[in-house]
Amino acid sequence: MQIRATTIFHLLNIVICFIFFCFPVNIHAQNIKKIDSLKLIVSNSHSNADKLNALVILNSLNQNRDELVAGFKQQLTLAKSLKAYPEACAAYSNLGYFEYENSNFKAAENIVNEGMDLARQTSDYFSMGKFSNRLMMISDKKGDMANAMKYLKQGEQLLSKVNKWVNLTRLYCNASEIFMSHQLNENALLYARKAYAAARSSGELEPMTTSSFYLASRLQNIGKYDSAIYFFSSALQVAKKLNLLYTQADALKGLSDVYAEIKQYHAAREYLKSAVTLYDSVNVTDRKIVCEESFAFLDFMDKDFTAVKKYILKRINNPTQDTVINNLYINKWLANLALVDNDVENWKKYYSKYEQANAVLVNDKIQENILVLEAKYDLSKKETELRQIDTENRKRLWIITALVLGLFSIMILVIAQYRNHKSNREIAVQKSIIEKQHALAEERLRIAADMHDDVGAGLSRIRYITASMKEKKDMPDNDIEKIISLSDESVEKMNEIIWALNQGNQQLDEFIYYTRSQCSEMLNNAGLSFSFELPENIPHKILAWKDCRNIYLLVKEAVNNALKHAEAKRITIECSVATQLVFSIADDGIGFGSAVTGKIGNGLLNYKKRIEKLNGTYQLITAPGEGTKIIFCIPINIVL
Amino acid sequence: MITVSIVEDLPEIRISLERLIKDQPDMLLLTVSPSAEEAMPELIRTQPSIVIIDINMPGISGIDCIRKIKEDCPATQFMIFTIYENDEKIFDALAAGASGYLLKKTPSEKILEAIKELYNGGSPMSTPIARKVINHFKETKNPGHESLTNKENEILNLLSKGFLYKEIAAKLSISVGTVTQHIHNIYEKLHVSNKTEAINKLFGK
Repeated sequence: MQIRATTIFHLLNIVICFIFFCFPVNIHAQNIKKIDSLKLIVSNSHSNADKLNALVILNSLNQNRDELVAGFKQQLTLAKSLKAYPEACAAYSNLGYFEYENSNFKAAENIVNEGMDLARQTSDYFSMGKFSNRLMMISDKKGDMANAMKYLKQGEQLLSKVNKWVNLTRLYCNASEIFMSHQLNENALLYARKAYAAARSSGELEPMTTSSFYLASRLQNIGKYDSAIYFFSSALQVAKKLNLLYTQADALKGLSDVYAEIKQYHAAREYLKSAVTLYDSVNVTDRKIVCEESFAFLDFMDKDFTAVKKYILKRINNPTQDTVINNLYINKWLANLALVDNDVENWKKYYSKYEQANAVLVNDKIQENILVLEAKYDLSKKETELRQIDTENRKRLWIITALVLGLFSIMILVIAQYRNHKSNREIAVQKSIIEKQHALAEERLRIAADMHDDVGAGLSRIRYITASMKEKKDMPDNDIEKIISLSDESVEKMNEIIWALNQGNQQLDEFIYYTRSQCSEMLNNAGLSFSFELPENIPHKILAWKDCRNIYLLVKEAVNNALKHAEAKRITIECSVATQLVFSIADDGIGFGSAVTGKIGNGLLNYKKRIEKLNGTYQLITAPGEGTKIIFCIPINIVL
Repeated sequence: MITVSIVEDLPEIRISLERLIKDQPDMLLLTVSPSAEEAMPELIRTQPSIVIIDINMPGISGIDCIRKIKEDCPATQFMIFTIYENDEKIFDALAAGASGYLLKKTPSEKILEAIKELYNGGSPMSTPIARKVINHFKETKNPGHESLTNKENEILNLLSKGFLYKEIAAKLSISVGTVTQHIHNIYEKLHVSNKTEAINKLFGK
């Protein structure tokens, strides 16, 4: 059991070292040259922008800690003055990290919070995510687990928002580490898995090896050794590809530990040997000490007690910095050896010393455990809160979804109803359109006939007169007069057609007034005295436009005939409306007998044609020398 | 001296009208334009007493031309020159600011008579137009413009029933000149009312 406790302790150490390793350590030879030239640019450039650019690259390459601190401070001031906020945020992030690394958590927190403010002001979600990560770690170190969880959630949201998978991987790894340190194994595993998923999404190798390693450690921790071996191996392979010696060594050490757990000591020893070689090559002594301890364990299990004794001597001669741990190791193996030798007295002695050392550690552990318990409490509180918010949100979501669905279906119903209504209406509209079109076609034919008869006839007469004038080469006044009068007539007829078309169906009173105005103007222009009596009351009726036109033409023709042929001095027109519309046109002219021929006969034929169209009658009262009176009776039932 | 300008797109009609006015000793022809676009700056510059203007022209119509420059030519009387008396657009033109109309079939001496009559404050008004004017004042009962006097209403009523100026003068025991003067005033009120109506429409009163 004690052995198990120490291996966990070793693993913790590995992991802590690994976090430190995340910050690049090795400097390549070619970079040194580059760094020198960049330093030159930084110190000599006159342009602040150039200076900043060089500084950013320099800081990313430089490995000298002191120079880096100064370099990032310079970068921060420069970037702020140039309003280069992402560069300023990067500087804050690194400066915060240095303070964190030196365990100056308060200072680290202040710096990172400053950076967070700047990032928030500039809506730099990426930097905000990075700062959340850092603040999570700082909060954890300060024992404020609740805040650490808050920053974890915040960082997770921010970094996934900007799709920064690499940084998300780091965040998850760190979170897993925090959970691990508080022995929250399930959460530690969960976040290691999340880290691995994020790393896969990033498509980059470096996060892949880191997250594989974390996941393997967590799986080992819960006893899933097969899976742990798989992930350690994949971390090892990727680290090889990237030539990351330290990570390779860590993975090998991890594999060795797993094989030791499953009692395959030979394999464990082989991996451990490879790990030590690599640790040697990167010159990391503390990792080597942990490996030596593992070797001692393997030797002990292989019953190679001389090797264990050698190890004890080595520990005594080259004690580690931490004397408590050093004593712990020495006494542990001395006790174990005594046990093998059945030397109960010595075993008691060494074991009590081991216990003492362990007690010191455990004392630390107890304090740590209290913190852990508090943190656990905070965490569960936080989680219940989050869950509550979650359920509330889900409830709200349901309500909103229901509302949206409801509205949507109502809309669909309305649209369907509207379409249906529309199609019904469309059918009705189409029907009436067809009817209208039919009526219109009829009207069009009528208008065409009117134009043909009235305007066309006049225009062709004008054409013939002018053509004959051209042949004769002279212009008799008579013909010119004819042209003028024919043109005027054509225009007048056109005017009437336009009037009828414009008016459409007409109010009876309006129609009578118009007829009056036209007749009186005709009579006035002819210089005849006349009277045109209007009915007292005109009933509110509407006349169809073709009827208007026919009645108007009848009256006008009668007036015209009286003007032209009756040799009258006075014309009396009367109009009345009762059951039928009556117009009477009387003149005091020459009149005519019953034997009608020629022009008069044609005129009467015209009346007949028109009055038939109106389903009306006409009455002619005349005798030679006694004037003429014509009465048109148009039944009111033709009135629409 | 009556200063006259002509706006007419048909060359034959324009030229014969131009010749007619030029021959008159008491008339002075200022400008002759084949389109409203060309006419507008000229009319504003020369400020003629009478503008004889066609309604249907390519580009800006006679109605729009009158509407646009009416205010810039406060002393100018616009006389619409049209083929058909029953043209629906005559009323629109009168409402827009014209004070008279002339049919293209009108003989020369009658044209000159009409110009002089308009110059002296007389205006023609047909039965359908009288009816439209009545309806216009009925529909736009807003306090912003002057309403018609009783006499003016009476004259409009008789006109709309197909009575001639002569008949109205006899019926109301006034001279024909007074009737034409009343009609002229009615046109003036129509312009103002039409304008306020347009403004009200514009500002969504």
